[in-house]
Amino acid sequence: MSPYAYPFYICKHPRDGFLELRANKKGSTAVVLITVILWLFVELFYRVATDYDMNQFKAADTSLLRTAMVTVLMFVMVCLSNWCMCTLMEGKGKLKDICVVAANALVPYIIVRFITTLLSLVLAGDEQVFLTYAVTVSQIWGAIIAFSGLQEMHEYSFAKTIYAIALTIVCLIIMFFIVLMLLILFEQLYYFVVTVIFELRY
Amino acid sequence: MRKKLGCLILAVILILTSSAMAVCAAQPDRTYTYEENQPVPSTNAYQVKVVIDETLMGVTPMSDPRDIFVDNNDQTYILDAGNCRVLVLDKDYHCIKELKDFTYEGQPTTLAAGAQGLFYREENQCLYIADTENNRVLVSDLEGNVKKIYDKPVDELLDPTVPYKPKKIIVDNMGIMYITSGNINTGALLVDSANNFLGFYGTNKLKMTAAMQMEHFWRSILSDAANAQSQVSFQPVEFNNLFWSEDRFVYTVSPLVESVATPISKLNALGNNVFPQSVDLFTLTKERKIKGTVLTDITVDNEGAFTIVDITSGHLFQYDEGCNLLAVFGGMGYQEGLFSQPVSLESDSNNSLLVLDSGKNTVTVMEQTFYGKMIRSANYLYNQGLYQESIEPWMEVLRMNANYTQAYKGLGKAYMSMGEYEKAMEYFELGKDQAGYGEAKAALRDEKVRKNFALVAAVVVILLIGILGYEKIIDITANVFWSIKKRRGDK
Repeated sequence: MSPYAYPFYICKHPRDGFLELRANKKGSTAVVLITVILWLFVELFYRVATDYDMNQFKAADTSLLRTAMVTVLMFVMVCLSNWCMCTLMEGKGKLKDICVVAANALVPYIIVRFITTLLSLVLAGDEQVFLTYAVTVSQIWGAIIAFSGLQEMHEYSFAKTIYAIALTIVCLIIMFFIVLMLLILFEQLYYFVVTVIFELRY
Repeated sequence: MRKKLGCLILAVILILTSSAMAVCAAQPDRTYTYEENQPVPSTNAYQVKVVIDETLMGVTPMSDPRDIFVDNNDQTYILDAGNCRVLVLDKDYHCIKELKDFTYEGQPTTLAAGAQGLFYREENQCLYIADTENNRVLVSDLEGNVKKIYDKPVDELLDPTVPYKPKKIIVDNMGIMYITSGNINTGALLVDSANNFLGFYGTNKLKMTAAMQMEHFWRSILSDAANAQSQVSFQPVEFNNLFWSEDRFVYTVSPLVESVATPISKLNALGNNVFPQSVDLFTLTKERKIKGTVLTDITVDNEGAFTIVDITSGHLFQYDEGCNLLAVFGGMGYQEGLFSQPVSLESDSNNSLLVLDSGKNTVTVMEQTFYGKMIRSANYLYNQGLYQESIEPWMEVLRMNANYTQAYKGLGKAYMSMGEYEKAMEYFELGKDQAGYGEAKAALRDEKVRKNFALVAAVVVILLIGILGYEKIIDITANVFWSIKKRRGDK
């Protein structure tokens, strides 16, 4: 099986899929990249192309940068925080493995989101419930894939995987906090330098 | 000849432009409305027709006028409280009577300065004057002969130690008076023509607020002496004003405080509010936070639209009978069309508004503009469910104010009811009505499916087969190909 077929296989058989993928060393950076770009594309498509009665976004407010922030940046942060935690917790997975797991967990969401966005052109009014339902199911299925993938890649027990995921979330929060603090600090520094320059010039 | 013609054309152009500029200067363009909870400028719905001052009326200047009333024949009555008189104006706003000296059973009597309420009843052609400082209600005909004087009614429910200060008065078709009195916050007093007290009417209901909860908590802890100094009140508030409408409802305005559930209400005979829950209080609350809105009067015109006036910002808020905000106009200032202390408001038979300004001592008559008439009739037809008939007025409205979302919504409903779903969808999107858009879309889809049922059904069946059995299909096709290949190989 080629590396490009694995995401679909894993989608149907999460446990066996990751087992085979690891054994055959078929984790591919290209697949990860394509998946993340597709995710970004689908999120944009969802914001712009969902029909008016189901669209919670204003088309005028949709920005590529903001969407990229919640997709690509989020992906990088999650992978990094899990890598940080699991290297400390004797996980066997490398950063690339973690990225492969995260990308594979996105596949059902991407497919379902694309289909529901297309369906929003046909369905109307209360039938929106079906679309929300489908998306929720895909998200839960994605979580299951991520869980079994992490367990497989790091060679963890069930309980330890849960523990690792909880720590990953804590790490994520800390990372966001530090980034925010750095931003504020650098802003202050920037204004300090600007003021000093102004004082010196006039 | 050509020179003369050129001069003529030039003169005409000059006259036209100069008059247009004069019109621009006459009234500032300050009408606005709320769209999605944001104030949005709109076209003027009302314009000043005339400002009634002492020169027009032909009397000595007014001083601290308190109340105004317009009867069905467009005669105007003004309670000029500072001069202790009542002015009666005809249709052209010339004073035809000045009632200052009244006689009661042969004895002369006068109003005390600071009288607050005035009502004219057509049935017995009598003026009802709330003579606040004399603690009485005076009923007089238009010649100044006082028919009756009502002092404080005697009843167990009325505390005799509380002074009687009648402020606003209305009289219903049975001759029963509804009197609001200072110091009495349990509703309007219902008094019949023999001065019997019948009960309280339409008490303002209290709503629990966070501040009151806190106060409750503190009162349970603190001593009585400390509690006595508390500022938070658990009392209902008095009505600021009452209005008796022809369809036998009483409209009231109360102070805009958090604990009052219905600062604007339409009360039926039992004193219950019949306005829908959706009275747009959000706008008023927002205005109060910025400008400290205090509502002083309410009036209802003969199309059922009601207007309230805010004494702090000088704004008039007009709503249709479904409580949708139509326009906010007026303001503070010395120009025509602006006010300094609008205390009272009435509407006449042409739906013009008469605003009594006790700061400027004038009455401003504001008439509907074409735009105002159009939004009114369109909203009226819309509320009646006559969507198709409302297309034309909505189109007129949009020609003058393309930002009026309600118009797009109305057009959407109209085209929906005519079965033109695609057009309806377009207008619903412009009108920001997602539910309406969804309905139109569903209707359009159902229509299309009904027309092309065979095709749609075939596509759905093929898709289902494809999704459920694609692996088997692949197997079968692979087998077929395999067998063909094998047979060829055999050959």
